[in-house]
Amino acid sequence: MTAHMALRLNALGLLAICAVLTFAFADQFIYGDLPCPLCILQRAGFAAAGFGLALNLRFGPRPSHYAMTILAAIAGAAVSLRQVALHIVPGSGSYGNAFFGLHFYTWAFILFVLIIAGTAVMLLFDRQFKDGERPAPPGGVALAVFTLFAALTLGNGVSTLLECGSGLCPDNPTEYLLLR
Amino acid sequence: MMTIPFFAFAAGLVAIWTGKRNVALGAWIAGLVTILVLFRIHVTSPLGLGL
Repeated sequence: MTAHMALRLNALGLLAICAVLTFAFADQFIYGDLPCPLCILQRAGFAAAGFGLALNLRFGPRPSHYAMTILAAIAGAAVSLRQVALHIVPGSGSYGNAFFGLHFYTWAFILFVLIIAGTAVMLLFDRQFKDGERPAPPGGVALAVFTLFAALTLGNGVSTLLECGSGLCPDNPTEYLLLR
Repeated sequence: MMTIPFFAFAAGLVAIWTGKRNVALGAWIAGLVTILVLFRIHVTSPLGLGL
């Protein structure tokens, strides 16, 4: 796999993460499903995972960038697994809406595992790291995906600020603290 | 406090865009460490599971 092909796949992966963050925003703003603290940390985990892919788009594919994505996905998976474990016993309740029968934190765990596996597969292709030429800054679709990802990351920061203020978020948020 | 990871990553993305890789790496580390600290803070109740 050439570096050019790898960058295309990185852009695709970053677009997938953008889709996840957009879906979470849609649930929040359309259905009024305010994210809990663990939900917010899972969103941050997706942002951290996408960061490695964004680095690849700008500086070219490097094993260290893929490692960052894997480490971030492990952290995100730990958070989502904690939330799954909180509700795994029948009768222990749940948090938020379900999608195709699974709650968002369960989907998040599945997606973090897929990110880890997909990134490990990308690391199998050594040729992408041997292309000596330094890639140009991303243009076209890659630039659009990078910009969308940055906007979603910043948007989550603003949303969290409105919901929680400058401190910790309540366990079961019912309103935006700064919009009272 | 829970906004820190997002703003750190957003600042890091600006650094990526401007070609400052080391600054971006620092922002990413700061954001990830904050996630882990916040996670630790929010893990307060024992799980009712026999693991």
